[in-house]
Amino acid sequence: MSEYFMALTKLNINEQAPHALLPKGTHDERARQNFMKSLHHRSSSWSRAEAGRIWTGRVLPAFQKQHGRKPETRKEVRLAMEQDPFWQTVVGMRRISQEMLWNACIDSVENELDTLMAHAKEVDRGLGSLTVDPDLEIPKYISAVDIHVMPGNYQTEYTENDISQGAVYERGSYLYTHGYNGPRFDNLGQGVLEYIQKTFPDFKPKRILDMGAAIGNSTLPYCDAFPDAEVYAIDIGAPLVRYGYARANALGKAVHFSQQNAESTSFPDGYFDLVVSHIMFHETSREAIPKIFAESKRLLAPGGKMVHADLPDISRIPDLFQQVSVNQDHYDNNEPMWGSYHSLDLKKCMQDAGFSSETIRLEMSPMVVSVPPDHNNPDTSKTVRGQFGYGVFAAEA
Amino acid sequence: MRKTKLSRHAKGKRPDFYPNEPGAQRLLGIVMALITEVAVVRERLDTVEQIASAKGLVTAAEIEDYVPSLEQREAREVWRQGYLDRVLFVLSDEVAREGSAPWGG
Repeated sequence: MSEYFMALTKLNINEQAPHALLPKGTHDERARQNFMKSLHHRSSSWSRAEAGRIWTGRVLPAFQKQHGRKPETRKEVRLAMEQDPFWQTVVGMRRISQEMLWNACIDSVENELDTLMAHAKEVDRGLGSLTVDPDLEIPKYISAVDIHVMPGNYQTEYTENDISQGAVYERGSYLYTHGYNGPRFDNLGQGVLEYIQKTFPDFKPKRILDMGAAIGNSTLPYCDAFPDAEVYAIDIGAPLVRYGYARANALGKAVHFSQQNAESTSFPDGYFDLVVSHIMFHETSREAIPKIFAESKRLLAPGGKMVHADLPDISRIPDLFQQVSVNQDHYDNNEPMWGSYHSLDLKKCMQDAGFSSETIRLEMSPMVVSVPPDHNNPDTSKTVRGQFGYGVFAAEA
Repeated sequence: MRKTKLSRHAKGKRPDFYPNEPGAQRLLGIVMALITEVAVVRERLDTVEQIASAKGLVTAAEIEDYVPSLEQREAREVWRQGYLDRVLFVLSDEVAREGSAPWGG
């Protein structure tokens, strides 16, 4: 068994790396959060491997008996599985554990909010900058549902200069990804960065923009990889960019955070050499995506590069049931765009935005995964790489 | 100073995983919350046992004979009320949705 596969099957007991903005939690809150990570991991892996055995063992044979053929579409597989009590229970458990996971983090943030807000002021060393736009219109694809079932989503503000949702997002997302995204929650950014460095070995961008950057967790690796570059991060949510700015200062990184919509930003034409995003597109809409590509094109200087990473192309997964399992988020995780995202013609979208065909790349970034530490191997920073990573779509101006 | 309250009810329709058994998902939600709380208690108890045994402080008989003070009894009741809020969340969520059927419908 490969080290990568081992890392995914063993529950990751990595501790999240503490910093001034991350809620500490009481003993019970931490215990509850630890357990939610285990419970969510268990129900997620059951909805793939164990449910796969249910599929081949009884649901597929029943389908074939009834229809005299194999299922041909994901929809046929999904509708058949939805009648099965095991599937009903594991996907139900996955959804409920996700709700409980956020609430377990919200308890800590609510209790510690005054302290976290005070820390945000204390750590402010003036690294980078912060711009919040109270008049920014929140697009319907963000305001319609709370994505990932995170109550309050990215944009809700409960108090003046609120950072609550940033703290809930950082702690909850760490648990939700079962620790595999690393103690600093930056493995996704590392993977895309590795793709960029391998694909464009001599590329030294002077200005970098990360779109839909949330709290800048995937942005910070770019500060280290390109120490002479100015790094910018935008997101739709005010609490996220406020938290991201304070977090970057606490970690000693200079990033210019601003609350902006990636469809239309305030930066001048040709301002950036590199525009990136990390799993933002599938949380937007079919109408927004062409606008984001056009905005990327407008923002790039001649020779500049756009590298966006999002969901992998699930049609590359040979088994139809596994495609359904990966796609389940669309049905139970408040991911309204996820399902139709797979039918988008990204190449055409990029061409329509004015990127020339010969520069367009539809590839994969490596999946960087933190190795679960154990007493023989206590290094929490060790990572391994898997081949089936995020889908990358890139082009040059 | 009044504490800022955050929402615990995610916006968006809740999926129904047991369309033919309307009570099953509510029951599953309660059971999952309960197993979590057992794990939380187990973890705290383990912390106490580890520290106590390292210091040679507590015996099983002392735990058996322990009598909490009034203040401790009050603190435990506050904890229990919070415990019930969490275990019964699946029902309070339904109430928060103003009586509309939370699993579609």
